[in-house]
Amino acid sequence: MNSALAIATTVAGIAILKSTPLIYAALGGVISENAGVVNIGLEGMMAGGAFAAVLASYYTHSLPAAVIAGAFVGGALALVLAYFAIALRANQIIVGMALNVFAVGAAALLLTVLFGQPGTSPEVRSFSSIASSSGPGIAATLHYALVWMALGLVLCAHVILYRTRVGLHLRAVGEQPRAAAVAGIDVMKIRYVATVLGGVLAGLGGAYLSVGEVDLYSDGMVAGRGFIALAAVIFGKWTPLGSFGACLFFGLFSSLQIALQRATVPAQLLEMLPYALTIVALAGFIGRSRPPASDGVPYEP
Amino acid sequence: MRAADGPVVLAACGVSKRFGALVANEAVDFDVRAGEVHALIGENGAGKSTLMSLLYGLMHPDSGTIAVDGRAVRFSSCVDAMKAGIGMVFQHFLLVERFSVAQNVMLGREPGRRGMLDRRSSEKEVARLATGYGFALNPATPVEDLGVGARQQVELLKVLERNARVLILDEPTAALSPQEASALFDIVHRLRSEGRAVILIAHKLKEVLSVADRITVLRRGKVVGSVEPEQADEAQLGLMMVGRSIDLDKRVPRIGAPADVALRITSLDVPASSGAGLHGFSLQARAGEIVGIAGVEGNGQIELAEALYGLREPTAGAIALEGRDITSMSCANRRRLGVRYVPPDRQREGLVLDFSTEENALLGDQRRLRRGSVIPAKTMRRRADAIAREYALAGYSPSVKARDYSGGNQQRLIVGRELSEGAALLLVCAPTRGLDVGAAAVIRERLRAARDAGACILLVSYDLDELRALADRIIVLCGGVATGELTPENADDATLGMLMGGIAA
Repeated sequence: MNSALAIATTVAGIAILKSTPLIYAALGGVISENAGVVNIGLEGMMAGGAFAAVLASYYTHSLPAAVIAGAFVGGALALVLAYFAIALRANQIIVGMALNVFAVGAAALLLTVLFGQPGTSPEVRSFSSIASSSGPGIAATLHYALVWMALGLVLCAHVILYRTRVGLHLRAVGEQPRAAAVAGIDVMKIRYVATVLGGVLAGLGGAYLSVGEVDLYSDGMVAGRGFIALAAVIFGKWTPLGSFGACLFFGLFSSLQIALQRATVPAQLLEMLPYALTIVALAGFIGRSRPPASDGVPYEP
Repeated sequence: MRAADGPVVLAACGVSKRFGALVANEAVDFDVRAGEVHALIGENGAGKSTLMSLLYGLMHPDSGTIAVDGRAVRFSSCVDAMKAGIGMVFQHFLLVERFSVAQNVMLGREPGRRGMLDRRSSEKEVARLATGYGFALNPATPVEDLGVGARQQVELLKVLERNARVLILDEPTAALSPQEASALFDIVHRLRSEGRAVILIAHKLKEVLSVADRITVLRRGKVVGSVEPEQADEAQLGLMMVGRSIDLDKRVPRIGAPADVALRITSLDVPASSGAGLHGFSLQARAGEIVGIAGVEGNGQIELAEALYGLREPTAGAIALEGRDITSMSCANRRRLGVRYVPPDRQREGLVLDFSTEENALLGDQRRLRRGSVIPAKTMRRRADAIAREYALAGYSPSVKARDYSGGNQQRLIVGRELSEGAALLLVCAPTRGLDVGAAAVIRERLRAARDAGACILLVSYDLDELRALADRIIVLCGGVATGELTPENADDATLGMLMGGIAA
């Protein structure tokens, strides 16, 4: 009994750790899509954030600086998306894809240029390294700071979107921008802020991957998490709480996969399962999942 | 006394606006007084919308001025216009579907402290306002659950909540039932008696004559003249609008008697799309007959038309065309039998907006007109040319995209295509909605010609005058059930309205 409980606790704990980067990115997606901007570039913004965090930690040995750098680069990439998608009314999917390719490529290039070693960065000061060097207690709490922050942000986003004026205005802009504009709401400004905020969150998710979970950046380390986060946005019906649940669900399967590594079930099968379930869920089991009416539609004043 | 002599609150003085070579407004003078309903009429493209956009601050005039209370103003956006007390209800409502009535009405002005929303006081405020005007609206209902009439009330509340002194109503009755329209006009009268100024943009001359204190006619961007309703009639207004006399709603008797029963519908059940669905509907229609289908939008009309065309599968009942069961036949096969369809939404269902004219002229018959696996360019061109000639398609060239035509010309193209080879059964939905008199006249004339040529025509329309002018008999649908059948002579607004509301006449 005890060992079963221990296993369950471990699985649940790992699930939360595994879902944290997804939660950041999905929350970013929820915010920008509720304002009407589809952010396919979450993957690239996570990669950019992950790399920037390692870089900052390498040069400053400061974890807060690393986290801020990750958020900053994520936001900067999102600003590019915002400019093209909002001001130039370009196709948001194409700009997002371009940013994905750009961010991953730029990180790979900089690995070689700055560290002279393609593929992987040197190990840097990270949340996990201080946890192991100074034992449990305060350091363990620090280690989980990013996890707690993610949970806090989910609640914040929920309150902001559904209980505040600015949240209502943001959703109005994503649903019917013309009606919002006529009501005196600055559509462009809200879309810019929401998109950049989304990028900042994705960047934080990336920083969690590189200086939270491990202590380095390596090529391909985001491994499609940006896209999983996008699926979580849809799965969660474009709401913070729903997407949070979807991220936990995905995290649970990653965690099971680790727990059952030595079992007879092929790991690939477990790895596949969340995606298969997403398709099933999207095909009708979660009921009507409807994006904001003007999601992905450029606004022409 | 009808004509208001309150002060002029909003005026356009000699405004002109050009778009490239097109002159949308030329030296237009227009004003509205407090306590007055001033109607603005004109054909599509006459410049009504441009003038309203200028008054509402959506555009700036190239020359001339806009004045509020006699002082020249320059609005940088409609937000400024609203601050000056001007409110507009657009024909295509600007509502956030998923938000509640109260959220829509209060959008941008939500009550609350420190950025937090105070839902209760916002709903209370909207309820108070709605009750004051006799609107039966629950402030907490999402707008997506409301019908057209109720949505319009929400739009009115948005404007009234800001205490607008000037209300601009753009084609407010276009989608309303007669009862809803007359309720709206009661509101308009109420607004007038409150001393507000109302600008009413309209198509239906009868309504304008009964509601307005003053009527101004625009043609090709210029003011043709202003009249008071007591001194005008429909014929005169029509003449001013079009420049020639058209009696759109005159009945033209059919040539020859209708032939045999062509369409036989037996207790048809069709599942709903967004409206009511269709339940146990039976009908026999003859070749050479126009059967009108009346009803408030969303009461099973579209389900009926789509089931007949093969877009929607009936769950029970049978459809036979010229003795042949077509209940579960595909659209393509029905087209081969001569079933043709003019859908209600011309831009979404009738045309592919980014296709050229000749491609659009081909749609639906592409399989039949191909030779091997190609469609000869000459065939396409000839077909498009013929439609353009016969329907006087303005601005026609085979490669012009459908998007670039006006609504009237788009509809000419659709009707031309659907009638290009004659039809055994023609299904027509709201064929002249939003069209100007000229275009509407062409469409109606063609429908009559098709009938006289022996087509069986099912006409779904929300325009009762149109039904009376075209149909040989009128069937009323309410909640997906036929509630009555009338001859056009017996189909007065009151009787139709009762049947449309499901009250037995």
